[in-house]
Amino acid sequence: MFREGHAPFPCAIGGLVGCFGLRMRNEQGGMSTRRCVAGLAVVLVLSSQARRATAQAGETAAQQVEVTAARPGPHDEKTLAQLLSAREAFERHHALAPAAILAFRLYPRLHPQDLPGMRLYLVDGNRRREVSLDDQQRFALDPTWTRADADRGVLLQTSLPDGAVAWKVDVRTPGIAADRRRLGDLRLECEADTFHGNLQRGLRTPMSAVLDASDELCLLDDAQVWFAERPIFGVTLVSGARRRTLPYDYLHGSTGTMALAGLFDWPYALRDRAYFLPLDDRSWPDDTEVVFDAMDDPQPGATP
Amino acid sequence: MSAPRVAALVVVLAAVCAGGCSSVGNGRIAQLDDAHAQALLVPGRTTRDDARQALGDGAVIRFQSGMETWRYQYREGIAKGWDDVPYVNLVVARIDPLTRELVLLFDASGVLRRWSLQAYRARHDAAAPP
Repeated sequence: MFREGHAPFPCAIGGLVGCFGLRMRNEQGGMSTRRCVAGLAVVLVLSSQARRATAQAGETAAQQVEVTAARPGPHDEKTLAQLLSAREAFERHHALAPAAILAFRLYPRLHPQDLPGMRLYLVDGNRRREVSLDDQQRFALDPTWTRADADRGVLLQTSLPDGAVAWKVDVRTPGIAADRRRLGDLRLECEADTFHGNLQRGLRTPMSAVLDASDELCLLDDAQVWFAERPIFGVTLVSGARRRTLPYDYLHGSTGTMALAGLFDWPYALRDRAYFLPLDDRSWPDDTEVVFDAMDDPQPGATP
Repeated sequence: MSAPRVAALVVVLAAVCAGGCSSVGNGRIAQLDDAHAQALLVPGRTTRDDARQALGDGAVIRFQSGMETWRYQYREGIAKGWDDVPYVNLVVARIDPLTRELVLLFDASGVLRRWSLQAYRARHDAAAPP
């Protein structure tokens, strides 16, 4: 629910909210448009009569009316408590990426065209203010956001409907080229997210809770999905002279059934950028480079 | 080891071997090497129909962009389905069979853009020469 106080034209707004409420129910419960129009007409007649009565009585005092209405559907949001928990896990596992900086990133999960209209707000009770996003839709935790705010229920809310946004912890060591990531950064993202920030969608099974309690969850190769900057056709781990091009099993959610895929972040707009990593193989050092082969890169060895 | 246990192990191994190799496609990638792949798969020219005719149907993933990947796999020795059978999967992991994998990338008009061919074992980093 949101509140709007000190409405200058309370009767007109009351009519609009009345119709809006009917439309909401029409979408959700089958209320007809005809009823909505009829309802609006009744409200307009009543408001006209009320204005006439007020004029006749010669009342000039200003009115203050508080209008309450349902939001037009829930927005995609996370609690500040989740983000602070992610930061605590980031600090606990910071040795994986000692020079890295923590941020959070938003991706349009369902439709790429949602990107231009995506906004983020800090919502504290009835107040909200916009949180600025950089050109990669990232934001950092404001130092003034406290655990006390989180305990009060402060939210980070997007302008898009629930389900339209994928939220990711974003850990970056400065100086890494744009076409690659550092494995330790990605391991740290997993630690900060899974069962701490709890930002990615997925199934939280009792077994994964047990593994998390023993700090072993991010040693499973399907614990976390990541998204490259562009659609990818291959991922290669490089550590000095050692290289491993990952099998296609690690790309695009290509293994297993799609029956429950809708519960996760990757099956829609982000699928062509999605990859997993062999987190179970601890022999790769944190400084390993994760190098992407983009779909629109040329075929290796092809003559132009 | 007791006689019944030996018998049980023999049955399991026999079942594993009876599973044979597993493949997606018509199995031709078992013999496909880089040179043959370069002759067969020409980005900008090869079409989905060409690929289907030469290699059979791959496992397809379609993206919102209209691009799609076709994956072909061939694994020597043991059918992939056994990976999900308790205890048998331990035997499979021990054997670590060679898998050959060909992935094709088609654009929205059905023309090949990229391909990759590799052979790998699950427990080894370096890919074997395809």
